[in-house]
Amino acid sequence: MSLVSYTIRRLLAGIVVVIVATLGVFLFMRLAPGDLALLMLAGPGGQGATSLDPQVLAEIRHQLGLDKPLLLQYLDFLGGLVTGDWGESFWTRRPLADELAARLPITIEIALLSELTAWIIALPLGILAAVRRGGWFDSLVRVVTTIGLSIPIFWLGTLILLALVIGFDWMPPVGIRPFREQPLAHLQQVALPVITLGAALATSQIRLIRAEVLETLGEPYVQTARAKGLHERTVLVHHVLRNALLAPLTYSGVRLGVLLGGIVLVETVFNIPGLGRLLVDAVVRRDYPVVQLVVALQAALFVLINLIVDLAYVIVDPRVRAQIR
Amino acid sequence: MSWRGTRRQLLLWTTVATGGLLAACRQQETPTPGTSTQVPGPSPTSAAPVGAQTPTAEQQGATTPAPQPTEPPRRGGILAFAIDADPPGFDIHQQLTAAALWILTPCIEPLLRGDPYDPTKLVPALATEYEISEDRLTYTFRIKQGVKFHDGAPLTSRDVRASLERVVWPPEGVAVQRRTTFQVVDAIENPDDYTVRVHLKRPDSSMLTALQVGIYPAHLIESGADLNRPENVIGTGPFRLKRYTPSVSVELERNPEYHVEGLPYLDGITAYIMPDPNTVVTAFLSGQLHIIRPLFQPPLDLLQRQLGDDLVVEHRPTPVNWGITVMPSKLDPWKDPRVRLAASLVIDRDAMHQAITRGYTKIGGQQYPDGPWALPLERLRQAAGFSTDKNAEIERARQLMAEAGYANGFDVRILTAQGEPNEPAMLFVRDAWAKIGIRATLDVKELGLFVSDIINRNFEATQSIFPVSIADPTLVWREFVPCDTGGNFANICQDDYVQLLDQIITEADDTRRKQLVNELDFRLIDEVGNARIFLGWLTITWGLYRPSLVTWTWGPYGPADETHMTTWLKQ
Repeated sequence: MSLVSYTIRRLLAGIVVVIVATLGVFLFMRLAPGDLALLMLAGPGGQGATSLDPQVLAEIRHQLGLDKPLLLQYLDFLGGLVTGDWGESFWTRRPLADELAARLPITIEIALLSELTAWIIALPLGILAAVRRGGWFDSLVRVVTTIGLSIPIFWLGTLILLALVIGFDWMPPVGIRPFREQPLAHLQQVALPVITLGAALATSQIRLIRAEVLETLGEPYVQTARAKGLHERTVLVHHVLRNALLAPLTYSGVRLGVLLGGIVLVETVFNIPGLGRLLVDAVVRRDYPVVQLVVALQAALFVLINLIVDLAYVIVDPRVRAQIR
Repeated sequence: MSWRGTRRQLLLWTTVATGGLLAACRQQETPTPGTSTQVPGPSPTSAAPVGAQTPTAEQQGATTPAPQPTEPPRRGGILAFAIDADPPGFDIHQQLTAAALWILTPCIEPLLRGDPYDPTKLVPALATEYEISEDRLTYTFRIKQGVKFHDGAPLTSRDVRASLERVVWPPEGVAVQRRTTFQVVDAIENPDDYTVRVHLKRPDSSMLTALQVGIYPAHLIESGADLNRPENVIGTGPFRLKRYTPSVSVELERNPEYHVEGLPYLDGITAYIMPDPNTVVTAFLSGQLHIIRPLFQPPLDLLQRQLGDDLVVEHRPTPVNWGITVMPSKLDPWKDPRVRLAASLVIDRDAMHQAITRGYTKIGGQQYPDGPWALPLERLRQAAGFSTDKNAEIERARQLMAEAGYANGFDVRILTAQGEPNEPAMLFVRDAWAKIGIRATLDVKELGLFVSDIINRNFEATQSIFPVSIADPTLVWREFVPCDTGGNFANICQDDYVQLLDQIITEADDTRRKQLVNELDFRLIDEVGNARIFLGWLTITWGLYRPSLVTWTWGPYGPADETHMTTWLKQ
């Protein structure tokens, strides 16, 4: 099988995955009791639940199209997905394309920068911990990463903000500012979530890099390289890392797909209007069009990223290439 | 406030009142030493000194004098506060959430609004005066002249009529929840450009309050435009909508042609959308937010430690009263009124308020405890479940349970929504009921599931929460006292309650009306009317600001009253 046919097969399978994912979410949301019309009238605390006017409820349901047959609603959604007519949010009545356009850039920015930050932290620490295995540095790294894995990210973020305000009487500007208009304010706003999230991601990344490097260091070809008299740095860079980093790169790619779906805790604490908050709010409010679209896009993104990572393996690793053929 | 004299008498008294008010306003423009009459209003805490309050040049027709200012107001600046979510829409006729009203109230004005210094009174806004006919079937409003909408169109009676008709007889696609209140309206007319008359089928003392409806341009309503869209926020208010950035902020800008000269002081308002309360508090500490109104008790220790005297903390009971509705059709013991009474007697409301609200609210009857219709405490203490001798009440409850044949108690599920204070309140009830053998388990559900169960009557007992109006005592009871309302879950309809409510609605004399209100209030509590065990006032609305940064008066009706026309920034 050629690479092209392999890619096409994977893409077709990906489309099926996306359809199954959207159908699952569609059914789950519709089957969950309580629709948006109810929640709109009941109010945020449910205090309106006890005095709902059934006629008003029916009117709102009709406005939202919730009185149509389920199959029709799903087909409307699928058709809109394909044609690009993504509809409107039930809650804000804004076009979904506008909602996504407002949120996707900041989510992508924070996800990419956080992943980069995680690598900047994790790569040297992971390698050093592996190379100096058993030493004080290795022990320190393992203790710190264990603690880091235990700390909830929302708690850490809140603590950081509070410490800044109390200690320095400063916090980043509220209300996200576009980079084009206010670059300094924008950087101030994204710095903290990026550092917080990057540090959190780095904890697991350090441990993975350490484990992979340790395993690779024990491989026969590394012993051969040393026996040939190569400098240790050369052995490490040219022989160990090229093999050891494959798994962390794969993991990073998959994780990026998750991050691009939104990091709701970080977005909430740092008041970032990202995709994660959009999705969680939409689930709570039963804003079906938003949930369905975001899940569809996330599924598609996940499929795509996984495909890219797998294709990268095919290109880089001749053993994988041979398996496909 | 009502007028029952002739038109000549009305004009005479209006002239006298206006003249006196103008004289008072002129005095207030230049601060003078001495004191003015302190006005009863929302009760502040004693945690910090009250900030300076500005005289209001807009108090046309207001009969309550404002406190004397300590410094003249400054112009300019952008007021910043937080809202916890995107407004679900921008149509003031349909939106009830605080997030929407905080944005819309400064933009769209009604005919009348609450007096900012006296929650018992209404003062003219777009109406210069009003008259109620002797038979109380006709309400006549004189519209202020020279007022313009944000799009430049002049305000006339046609706009007022169109707005009132939209609320009273909503067109298809417009969901107005209060429309049952307006079923008594027969017709609306505008005999000339500045007069509107509302004709009723029968007298209704709540109508003046109910007619506090936001006024839109008639051409906008008639065009069929979706008023939920931000671009259609067009009113006569001191601010107009400048920009809405979803999930980020809503920005208002000063209306340069506002019809009250000299107002507003601010250049604009920015409402930041911030769902996390911790982030809101942090932003307030850093000075980026001038006002915060957290839904849950803020970290006062932290705030007072950091800000010291530069913090004003106000709080009042949220105008939402709490109860438990039991379903006799779902659980046999509830069919016996003795069991329902026992379940009410055993709950220690004083301890409950202390535990849930940490003493920030106190017990009261079903009417707003700080309002004009509140049941006097000494009378409330006579109602079942409100006595200070709790041991005697518990003993009586046990006797009632035994008489009803439930000496060994029974099992019940209490449906409740997730979160505070729902769960703590129901836990308290569960523990109280355990004393008389009622073994309750909490059925805690996510909001959507909770609402669904309520609608489908799928519960044995549930928390029931009803909004109240400070000015209109009938609003809350219209929801669950009549036989055919959605709020009357148990479908227990007592003719004497309904008759009493009708009397309250039609009674013209305020003193007699108060007596009737107190009577119904007492009976519903004491008799566990309509199978609803009244609990009290378990949620608090907070208002915090820094007097070094801003001067602000908290409207008596909360978000429906906050125009910010007299708010000003000190820095």
